[in-house]
Amino acid sequence: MSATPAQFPPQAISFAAPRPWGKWSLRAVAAIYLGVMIVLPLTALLEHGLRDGVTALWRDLSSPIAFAALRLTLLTAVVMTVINAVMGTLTAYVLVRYRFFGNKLLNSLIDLPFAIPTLVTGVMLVVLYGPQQVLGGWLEARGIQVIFAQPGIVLALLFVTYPFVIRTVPPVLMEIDQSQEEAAWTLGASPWRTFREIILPAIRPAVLTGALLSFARALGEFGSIVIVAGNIPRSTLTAPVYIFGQIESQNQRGASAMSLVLLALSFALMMFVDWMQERQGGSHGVD
Amino acid sequence: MALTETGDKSPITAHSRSLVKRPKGAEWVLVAIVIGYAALLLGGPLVAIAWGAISSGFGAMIHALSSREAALHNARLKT
Repeated sequence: MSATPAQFPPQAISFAAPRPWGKWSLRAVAAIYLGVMIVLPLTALLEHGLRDGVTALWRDLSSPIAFAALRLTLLTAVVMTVINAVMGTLTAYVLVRYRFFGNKLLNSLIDLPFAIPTLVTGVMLVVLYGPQQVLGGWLEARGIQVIFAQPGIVLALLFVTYPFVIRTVPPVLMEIDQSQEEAAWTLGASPWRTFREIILPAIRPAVLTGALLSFARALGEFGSIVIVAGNIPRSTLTAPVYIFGQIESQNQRGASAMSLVLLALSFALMMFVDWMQERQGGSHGVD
Repeated sequence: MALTETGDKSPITAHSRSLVKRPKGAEWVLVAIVIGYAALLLGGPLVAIAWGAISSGFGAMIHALSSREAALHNARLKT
């Protein structure tokens, strides 16, 4: 008969418990760090944004340029998220299920956007898709403008958020027993039906989590967009670049107002992702 | 041996797996799409910036870097 932890007397394991002062000092350090790094700047932003009241905040946000910047940011982030969810899921599936030439190279390339400064990403895209370049010139001759236009913004966001879905889905995919897929094939189900009815229900929460994380990341993207977009008000000016412009022109209240909106959106998304992950963990526990 | 036995090490499962043919056509199409997408999104810009930097030779690249350094140094001295 093997011993289980429950069979040890409580005294035997009590020596391993940390001393109360250690626990409290750790908590205090964590709380102070959190306060200095996050709570204080957030409070300052809230205070500054709401200093002249909600009416002034709304007036700043509802100016045509600010409204267009916010709308463009949300629109490009939504388009990017949809493409990212589809292509990220596909890439994750291929990497987990298939062995092919270049598999390891692709796997290591995926994290590259995390390592590259986003300004460099912008420069890279301009070098490839700029109107003076081979590919950019070819596309422009066919009426497709990428750089200094909205497709360039979506492209930059796709590059920057490329790893999010791809890195969220594989752990769940690896948990799915492959014999279920094989059983479906032997029963005559098409690959698409197998994916739709066996794999997709299992990976849906992970895909959604990755997609939401990439959406939240896209809301605040500045470095690549400031180079790629051209920053034309009411056309290619996004909310983070608008904030930068407001600070440059000494309108700190306008910058704070837009920052508050982005902050609230990101915070709501993060809460939702946390809730989803808890639910996912709970369902795994039940399974 | 019980026929209901399951698990990765079960001889029944292993045998049945060897008989199952994955749809190869779909596999190649998916791999091609994924590689094409990654090449377009990641590979293209990387190659473009590398080619743009070294197309005029390493000498030109080093000159550009050293000129930049000189400009930064100049700016620091002025401020």
